[in-house]
Amino acid sequence: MSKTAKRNLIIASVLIVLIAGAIAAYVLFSEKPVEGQKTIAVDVVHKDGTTKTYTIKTIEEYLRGALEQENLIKGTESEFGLFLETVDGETVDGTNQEWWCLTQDGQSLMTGVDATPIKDGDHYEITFTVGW
Amino acid sequence: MRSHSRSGGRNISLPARKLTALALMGALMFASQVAMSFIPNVHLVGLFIIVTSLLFGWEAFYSVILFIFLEGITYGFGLWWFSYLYVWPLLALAVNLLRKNESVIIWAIVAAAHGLCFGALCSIPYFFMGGSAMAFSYWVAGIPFDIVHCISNFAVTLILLKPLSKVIKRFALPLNGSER
Repeated sequence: MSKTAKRNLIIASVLIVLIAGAIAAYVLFSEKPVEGQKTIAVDVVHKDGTTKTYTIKTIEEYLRGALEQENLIKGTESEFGLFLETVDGETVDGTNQEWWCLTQDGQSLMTGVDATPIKDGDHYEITFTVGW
Repeated sequence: MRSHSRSGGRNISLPARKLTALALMGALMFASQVAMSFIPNVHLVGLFIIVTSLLFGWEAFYSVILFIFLEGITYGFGLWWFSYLYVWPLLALAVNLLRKNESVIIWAIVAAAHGLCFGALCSIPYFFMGGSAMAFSYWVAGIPFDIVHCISNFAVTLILLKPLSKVIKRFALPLNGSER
């Protein structure tokens, strides 16, 4: 085997190891959905500062399903899942840099509504936010 | 023909044609990103950065900086934008450091590695915002996207690097050895 071919093989092997490591990290550390009945609480904080709290009983495994079950959200499908536009009847205006911020117990979520698994007792906030 | 602007007798500019070509490459990076934004994590930006770096060397950073600013102006200067300030230049840096390489497979692997590491690199601002747990959960949540990114970068670079380089060399380069 030539020197170049050997080098290419080593570099390709390193990439394959990195991919395997990433897959293993995802399998081991990503949050998994929970089956069965669960009750979650969702606070919707509107533009005028008022908060409406919804208690949702659901068998859905992801937040999107639970919120859609209550007709709480509407939006457009994006490359990263549903982009929230209307929550609890209020619609954001993207041209004014308005958007819905999704948090769990005040902590930013790293996933959108599609990829956020829910479990019994979870508490989420969806807050009308201005500014990127 | 070479055109220069002068300041106190000192030549401070790139040749006009090269400057135009670099601006065009930055605009192409941006246009391709917008055009392909409906496909998750499949884009030609990495490929354009590799081609620009191979053809223009360190001056490719001008195109990359233009692309980053166009992204910010269009989509807003959010937290993600600050990660762009090092994520894309890092690819240009890697290509410039490995520039002697002539194997398309190696460039495809470089693009793939960049796609795979994209989420991890973008998680750095979250480390400063919310600590290691936040950065780690950001990275883990995005791993499926990173893997798609990795595979698509590999395929796109493997297929398009040679033909794209050929086209850009023909139309955008000054074809003057002294200008490279």
